[in-house]
Amino acid sequence: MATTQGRWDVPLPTGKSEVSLSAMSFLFSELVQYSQARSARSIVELERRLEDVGYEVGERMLEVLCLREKGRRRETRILGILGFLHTSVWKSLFGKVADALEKGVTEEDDEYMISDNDLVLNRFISVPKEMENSVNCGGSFAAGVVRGVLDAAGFPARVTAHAMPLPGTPAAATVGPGNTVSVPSRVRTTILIKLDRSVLQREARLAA
Amino acid sequence: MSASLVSVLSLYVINKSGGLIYNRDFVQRAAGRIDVSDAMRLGSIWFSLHAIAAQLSPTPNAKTLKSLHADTFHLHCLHVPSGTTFFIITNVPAPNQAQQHAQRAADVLQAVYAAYAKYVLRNPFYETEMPIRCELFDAALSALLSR
Repeated sequence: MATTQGRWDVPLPTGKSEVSLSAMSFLFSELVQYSQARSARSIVELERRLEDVGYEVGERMLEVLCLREKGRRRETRILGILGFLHTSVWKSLFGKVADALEKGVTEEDDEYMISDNDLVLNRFISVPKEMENSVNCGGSFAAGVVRGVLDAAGFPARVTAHAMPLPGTPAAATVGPGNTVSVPSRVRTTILIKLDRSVLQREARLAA
Repeated sequence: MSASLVSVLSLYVINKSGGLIYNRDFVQRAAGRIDVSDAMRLGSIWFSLHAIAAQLSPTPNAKTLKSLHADTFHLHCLHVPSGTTFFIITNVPAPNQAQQHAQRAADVLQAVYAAYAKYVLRNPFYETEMPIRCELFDAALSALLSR
């Protein structure tokens, strides 16, 4: 009988290692260029392609994170899954929890928003003036991730990314030690989640 | 710290093939603004001088044309391994501060290079060797050089 270690005996990575920000930003930059090359100059299609990639990531993130966090129960309530997104998913993907989780004001109570004041993916991207105000690369990807997680967890929804200028006067770029410059983010990225009617009905049933 | 030691008047960035991809004046020039096509010509000439200096050098593989001293300004240059060249026009230092000035100018150039690597090269909308039009790069340079 063979005594070599089989493929199934190797433990899954624990997820404690971090990837360098440079590597991630170059990879994401290449992803955007790849998507743009296949998008025939249409901004809408570029965002859709980035969202699709994010969707694939989101589906898998749900499985991996649930596996890694021992003792986590399956989320069946809306606030539970949103909290999971806001905290675990953001922390695992972007190294910090999201900045805000808010409930939108609509008559059906079906809108929620997750906001990030400094989306890591957008930190080094300067959108050219022609495309200004209409393409949000990191935002589209993040929206795709959120949609993937929600779909895989059984909460179908429509997810879109929106960018708004940060309130207050824009902070100036700062020069750190060793003459490294940091330009602070001026945009707050908000992921708007519009849950499906079926989800709301189920939530109402569970709440009763 | 030594903000008054080196005062950067202008910055020029030249790509691998000698074309000007970025130029910016940080201080209003008494001689008036340089026309864009003139600036491109000046950039190519400097690029050629740099190449000539490399060939004139007695030791092989030298890419060390570092500065040009004139009566009214100093020019300091950084040529990076990828082939891009950054040069700045600065003020003339006092004679006793010449060495610190040169060292400080080299530091400034390194910082500009770092900002380039950070905000230009990681921008998916920037095509390499093309003119630089990145808002974040401009903002970074303002913080670094307009003080």
